[in-house]
Amino acid sequence: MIWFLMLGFTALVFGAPQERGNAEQDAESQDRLGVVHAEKGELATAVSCFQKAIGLRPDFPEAHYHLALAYERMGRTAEALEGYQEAIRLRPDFSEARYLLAGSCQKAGDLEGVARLLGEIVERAPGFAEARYNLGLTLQSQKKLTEAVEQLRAAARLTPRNPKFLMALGIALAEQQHGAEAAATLHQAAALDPGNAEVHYNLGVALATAGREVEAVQAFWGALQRNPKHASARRGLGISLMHQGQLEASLAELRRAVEAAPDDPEARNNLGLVLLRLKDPQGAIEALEWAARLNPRLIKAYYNLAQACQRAGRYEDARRATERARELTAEQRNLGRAMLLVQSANQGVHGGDASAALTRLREAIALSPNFADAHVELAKALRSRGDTGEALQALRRALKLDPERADARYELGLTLGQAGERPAAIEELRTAAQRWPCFLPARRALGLLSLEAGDRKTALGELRFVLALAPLDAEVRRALQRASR
Amino acid sequence: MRLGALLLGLAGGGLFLLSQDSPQPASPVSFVDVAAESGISFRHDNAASTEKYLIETMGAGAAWIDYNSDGFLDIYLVNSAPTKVYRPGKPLRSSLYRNNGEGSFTEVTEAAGVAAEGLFGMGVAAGDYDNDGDQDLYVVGYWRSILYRNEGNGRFTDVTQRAAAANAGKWGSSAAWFDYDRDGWLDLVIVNYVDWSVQNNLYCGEQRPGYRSYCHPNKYKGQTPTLLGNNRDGTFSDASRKSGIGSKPGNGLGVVCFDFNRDGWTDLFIANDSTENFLYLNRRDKTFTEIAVRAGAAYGDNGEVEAGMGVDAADYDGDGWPDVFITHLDFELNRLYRHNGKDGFEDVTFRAGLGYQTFHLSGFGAGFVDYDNDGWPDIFIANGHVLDNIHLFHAKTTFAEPKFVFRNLGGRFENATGLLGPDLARPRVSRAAAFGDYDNDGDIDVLVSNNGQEAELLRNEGGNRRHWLELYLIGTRSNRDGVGATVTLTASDRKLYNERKGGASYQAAHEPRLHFGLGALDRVDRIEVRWPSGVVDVIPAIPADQVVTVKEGAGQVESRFPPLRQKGAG
Repeated sequence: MIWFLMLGFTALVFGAPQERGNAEQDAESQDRLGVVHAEKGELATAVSCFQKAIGLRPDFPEAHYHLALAYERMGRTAEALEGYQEAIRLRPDFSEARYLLAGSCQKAGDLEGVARLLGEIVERAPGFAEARYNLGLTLQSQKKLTEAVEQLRAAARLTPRNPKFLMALGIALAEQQHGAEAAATLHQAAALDPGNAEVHYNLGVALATAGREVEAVQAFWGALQRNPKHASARRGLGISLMHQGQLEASLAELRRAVEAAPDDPEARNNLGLVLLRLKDPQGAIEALEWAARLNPRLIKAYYNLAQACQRAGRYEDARRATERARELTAEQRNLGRAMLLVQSANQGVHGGDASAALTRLREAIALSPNFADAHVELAKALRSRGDTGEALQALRRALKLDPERADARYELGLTLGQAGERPAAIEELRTAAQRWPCFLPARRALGLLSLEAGDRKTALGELRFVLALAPLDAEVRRALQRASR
Repeated sequence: MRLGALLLGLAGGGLFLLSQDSPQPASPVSFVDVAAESGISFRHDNAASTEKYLIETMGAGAAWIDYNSDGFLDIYLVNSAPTKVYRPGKPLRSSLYRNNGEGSFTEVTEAAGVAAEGLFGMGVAAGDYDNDGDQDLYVVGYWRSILYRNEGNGRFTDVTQRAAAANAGKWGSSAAWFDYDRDGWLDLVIVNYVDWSVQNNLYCGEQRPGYRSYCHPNKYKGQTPTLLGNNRDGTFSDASRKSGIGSKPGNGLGVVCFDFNRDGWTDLFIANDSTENFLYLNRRDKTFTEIAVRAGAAYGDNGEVEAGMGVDAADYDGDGWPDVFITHLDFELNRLYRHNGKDGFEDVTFRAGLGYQTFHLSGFGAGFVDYDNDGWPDIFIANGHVLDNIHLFHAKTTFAEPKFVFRNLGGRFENATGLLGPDLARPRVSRAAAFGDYDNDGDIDVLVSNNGQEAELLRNEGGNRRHWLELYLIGTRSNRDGVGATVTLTASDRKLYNERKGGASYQAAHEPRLHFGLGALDRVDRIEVRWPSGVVDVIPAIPADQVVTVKEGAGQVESRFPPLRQKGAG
């Protein structure tokens, strides 16, 4: 989860309120008045004030920013985005506007956009700890752990007594399997925020990952003391007790974990395990079947189920469970290989060996037909050779597999454009831009294509947004000039 | 406190059949690396390159073999070969070292004709496959392997093609000689790894300088094991599919052949990397059934497959049933599976005290070794990571790692590593660990092959302060090496069970004698040898501290294992 600090309206108030009388004609006064209303929660009135301020002075970046903030608080994300965009366009070094724009992108699920924006922010303002923290969380969710740890470490260094930052750093370190450092960091977080159950839970996880089960048990107990309903802590406690051979105690905790979170497949899987060890294969089977139903791709649940069925004399069921585990393992292996083939193919494309790249991409698809990345990369490689027909098919397959692929939608737009189907291309790019507002390539392509198609309004809107965030894009600048004539 | 007391209560609660003779206190034993002073200058060349060919990091093997039948164990160390991207400055050869009988070794590779030049070597197996009284050598490699027949005159002949024993096209890792059909002739099982090749080599790791890594084996397809049936005429037939052993692929790395269910027929256990282990039960009709899942040893007790590398089987708790130990990578557990006395195993890794102690180490060669002769098999593990740049990903992990020894306290283990001398603590990228009494002094020494480094010869000093007995078997109706024979030794109220196994550890070949630690007991009351043929030999009471040779059907015969001479003596 990313928590964005909602910078207060008061942060940007300039001096004391103006005397009455000229308030309505004075842009700054309208802006300040808007801030006062916003702070009281009178958002509709605040919006009106900010709009007046902008009407009086269209190039007033702070007013655009405040308007965007108000829209954001009202849940009007699209308008908020426009407001931030305009603020940034007017004042490119407006870190707060960029930061909150990133927050809007995060809400829209555009993690690449978030990462890019936050990266720019921390480059311009290296001391902006909150931005580093959120960048770290974004990178972590993208599985870029090394970079995530770097950002979170920097955030923690900038504000050493911030338990939230320390906790995030500890979690990332544990994910990187730096158990000792993770535990030390989480201990620090716990010392600063002793009432926080989540910190104690994550400490327990880090300790268990590092093999320090006895300490992990203590940490999980700590989390439960602070929040007896913490289902994950209950589960972690049960697992650690099981590892220490305390099977009855483990059983009790895992039963409670399942009660607290009935849809947690891991809790049910571990409940099944401990029942198996307590020589209750029937009970184990029930728990493990449930785990597999909740997560049909949980390989270990099938292996455990096979064991339990074996012990219960249900040999055919054991065989089926083993077969399913093996199928899933093979799928996983094939996906891993497919990922490397795609990576290797990309290197081939950049290295000029397009033919070898295509072979590898087709091999990746053969290995793992549901791997959307492979279809997208194949499409790109085909498009670069002018083979738009097959490229379109590949992209449609990718979108069927994963409708949330911003890059696939964008590539589809480009490919349709290359194939001469401009209206369809614009439609796809518009969908991409609306769905992923911070995905610059899509907005850029939409702006340029709209200009070609004579839609100046769309072109202006999109190109302005892109230029606000990428001011050095000469082609966009030239296109904007043409569109403005 | 409360939790700790509960744990102790569990462990002492009759879960194990503890012998009435409780283990004695630790005696001062140390392992000293005497390789250099003994004349062993072999240095493994792993052909490391920036292409990160997976074969570079997986080898190589080490063997004890008495190639000249003089009663002293000689050494064979396996090397790699040039590759498309690696051209060494001098030819790469495997090496045979003759034990001179006074503590030193002499390299005799060229004279013996076993250099295996051009073979990217992995494991090795020593056995008398033609029953002519001398030990032959099978060197396992990538894409092919070599069978060297011992001519009995200090020389070997490469008979691979003639014997149809090449294992061509497969990446062989470990191999083991065993008699699967009890016809009195040794057959050969080779566990094969994955279908990696130069053509399908992938870029793994992060895309920045220095961060390219060896790929995980799950990026490739596993290969099926190979079973070569001995035709008794110097040739072999591929019995892989027919026997069932080649029925399914695994990422095979280690193998041990032993009698899992004590029915007199040798079964085999294969440690697979990141996929289920295999336990092939011998059905006594030249076929096997794979039962690891059913037996509870296919994966860890958490339902997750692990990176199985080294494997051994022995009765660690004195209940007469063979248990299994498997090494794995860091962030996984080395697993101890205790035989349940019926049809399977129970994962007792935590209850036996092993737990997380080796969690940050990657175990390869390993075995049950009673290093202190107290009658309880201990566990020796040779460690070394797989990734030569692991420090970039895990700050506290290094490529080279120390050894690890667990001392058996009578069914539970404690970490004894720190008590056994500084040479075990020296970090190495270890692979094969081969066990043998090379100085014939009654305690087990360890030969370790290290990836890209010098080999180690860890001489056991002090293990023979307690009493011992070694048994050398000569088959007549059974295979000459006696592989598959089981031995029950009775001394006072102790009953010790042992077996002439095939394989064990990782890419290693061990000495042929069966070793028994006797603790304070200075005589043995009875030795019963059950041969694969069904013949039973019984040796009545004999003193401890000697090597006893038993010939099938004839009982005890003269032994030929002299002690080490003083240097300079004749």
